[in-house]
Amino acid sequence: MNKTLTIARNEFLAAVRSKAFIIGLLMLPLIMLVSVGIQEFARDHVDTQERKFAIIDHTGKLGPILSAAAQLRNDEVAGGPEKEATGGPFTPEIIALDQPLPELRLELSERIRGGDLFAFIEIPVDIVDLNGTTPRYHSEEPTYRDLPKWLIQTLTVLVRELRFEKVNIDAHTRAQFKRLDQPISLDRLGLLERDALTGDIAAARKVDKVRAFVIPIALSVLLYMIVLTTTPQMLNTVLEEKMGRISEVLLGSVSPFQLMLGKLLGCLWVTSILAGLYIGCALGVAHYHEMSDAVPLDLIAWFALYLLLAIFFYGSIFIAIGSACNDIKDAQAAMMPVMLVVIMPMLLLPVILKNPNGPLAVGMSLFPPATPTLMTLRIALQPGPPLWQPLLALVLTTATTIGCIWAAGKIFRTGILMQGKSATFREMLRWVFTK
Amino acid sequence: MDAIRIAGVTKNFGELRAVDGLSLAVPRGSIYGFIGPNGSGKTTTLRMIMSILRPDTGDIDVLGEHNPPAAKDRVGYLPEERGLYKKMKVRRLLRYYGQLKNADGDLESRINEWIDRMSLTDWADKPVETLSKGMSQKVQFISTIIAEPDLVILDEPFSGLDPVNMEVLREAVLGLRERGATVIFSTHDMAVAERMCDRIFMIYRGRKVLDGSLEEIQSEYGQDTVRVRIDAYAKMLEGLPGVESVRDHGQVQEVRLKGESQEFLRALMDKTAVHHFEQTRPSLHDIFVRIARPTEDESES
Repeated sequence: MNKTLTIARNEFLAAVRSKAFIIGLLMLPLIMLVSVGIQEFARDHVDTQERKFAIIDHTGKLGPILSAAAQLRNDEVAGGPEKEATGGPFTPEIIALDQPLPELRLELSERIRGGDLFAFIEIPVDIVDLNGTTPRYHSEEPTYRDLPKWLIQTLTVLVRELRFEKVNIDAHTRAQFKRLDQPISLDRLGLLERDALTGDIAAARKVDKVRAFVIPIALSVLLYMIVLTTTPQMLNTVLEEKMGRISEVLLGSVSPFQLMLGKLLGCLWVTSILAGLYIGCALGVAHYHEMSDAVPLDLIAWFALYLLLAIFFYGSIFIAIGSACNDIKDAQAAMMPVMLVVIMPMLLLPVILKNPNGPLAVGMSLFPPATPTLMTLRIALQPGPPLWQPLLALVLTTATTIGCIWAAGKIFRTGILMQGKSATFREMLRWVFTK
Repeated sequence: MDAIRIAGVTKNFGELRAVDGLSLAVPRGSIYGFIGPNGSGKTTTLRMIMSILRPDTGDIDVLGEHNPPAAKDRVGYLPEERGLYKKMKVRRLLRYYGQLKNADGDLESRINEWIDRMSLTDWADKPVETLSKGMSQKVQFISTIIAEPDLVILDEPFSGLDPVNMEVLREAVLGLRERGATVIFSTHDMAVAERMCDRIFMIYRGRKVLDGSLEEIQSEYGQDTVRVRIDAYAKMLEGLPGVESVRDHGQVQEVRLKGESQEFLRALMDKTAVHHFEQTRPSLHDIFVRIARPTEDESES
């Protein structure tokens, strides 16, 4: 065991002293800081650019009203001595219909290309009809949404008024109708429970987005990211030792299994540092915001257990691949199918979030390669799965991991000394089942 | 007691039989040379002694242990292709390799002593990748013996070394024997094997073909060799009566005879002036070539 620990210590020190580890350690908080910074920057820096748009109005009356509405909006968003601007002006230009329509559309398109206009809208003559033609909006920047959004909202209000007028509903009734047309909102609450001490029924708490979504997603993504950033490194170290003939020297002192186990333990220590730091920081932030109960200890314990299994499971696979390959290109090709399995839980995350206790969620979270990420997510999501599911997943994943380490050990023992060509998957399978 | 006892060991890799019924005893405290052409089974035998590979059949006892892995900490191994972590600093690497052998006593002071002895003081805290080939080889050698093993296996320890570094390592190897260690080294340099080894073992096509002291081996091959220095070119020797083969060393020619040496000398003197004529036993190099030279059938195929 001493030698296994010596190898683990060496692997750990080599990893934590590398630039990759320092970068990896700082990357997550850095990304968070940068994204918060960008949001703050975006909030402080409102887009106040003027956007001119042309109106081809076939109704003959909506164009001027739209222009007036734009003026009202511009006054609202414009800044002044005591308030900051909240948006840029939309400047309309009503176009006279003095030439054939295709020519007119082309001319306006050219003006947009030339930078004189930002967009143009064409209001059809039958817009007020219930099944009327849809207005046409032309722009060179389809991703800019503020102007088309405002146009839809404003035209909807205007057209509704015109439709009321058309069926002779007077202004008073229209105002009443508008008041009665208030949409219904929903208060999302948890369940009620009786206070054990007083016997009173305690009020249900409002659903908290942080507890309901942010923490479950953050925990499962953290586990996934740690596995993704640490375990493939083992492939590189094994390959380096094999290609540099270091493994032969090491095997003169330790058995292949000791060597492999030492590497896995070293990787586990690295991940413990990463997970400990991130979770510690997260708990600190939660405590600061008086939300310490949002990350219960049993959730952290499940996270730690599944992380341990994931490191041993994926780590042993990457070690086996590294030992069976003879150059980095072959290793990368052999990694591809494994990487697909590693990525799979992330692709399923939105589906699980939608229905955390549905058959797909239950089935996939019991599938060992996906268990660590998906079961952690399901445990963190309220109300969580029945206890037998995380326990069964634990048993299945532990058994699979032990099998994986056993098979990887057999591949490692043969592959690490093999020079010349990389092994095929068929050869690796043969090594596994050869006595 | 023998440091190594190999009895009836066979090792196959798929269809290929790398070692075939090998038996060998290496006495303690000796320097034992392992020779043999490439692919003859040398490295496989060494790996089995190191218990990196397991024999398919037969037994290997190492330093009295019937279970060779139990002796791993008492065996130092320097493989033919050097295995050092490029990014690791020299001192840290030696410490790591020493710890893997459960080195007892004061490992740090031994590291310092060897670094000093091998003139590596200025490089002790530098990464291995900054060292020259000779220095790397010295570091690899130190890592092999830093735990003071009872058995040291050196696979081509002198290859690629300049004469100065070679002399340093040669003295270090001889020093190991003085300390009581058994040294096995595999080499393609027959002159080194002749000079340094107490006993020599040759493996060819997985089988033992030579095993004994240099004198014993040479006496098996008789006194059919003469060394001559003449005024003519070596080519002339090939046409003389009784000559089986000629090895041209430039200034001296080594001739293997199948006939009488006196008759050969007479024929030689009739042709050219002879400055030196010495009847001797065949060199290890000659014996090696006699055994390992491909047969006519093999050459043709």
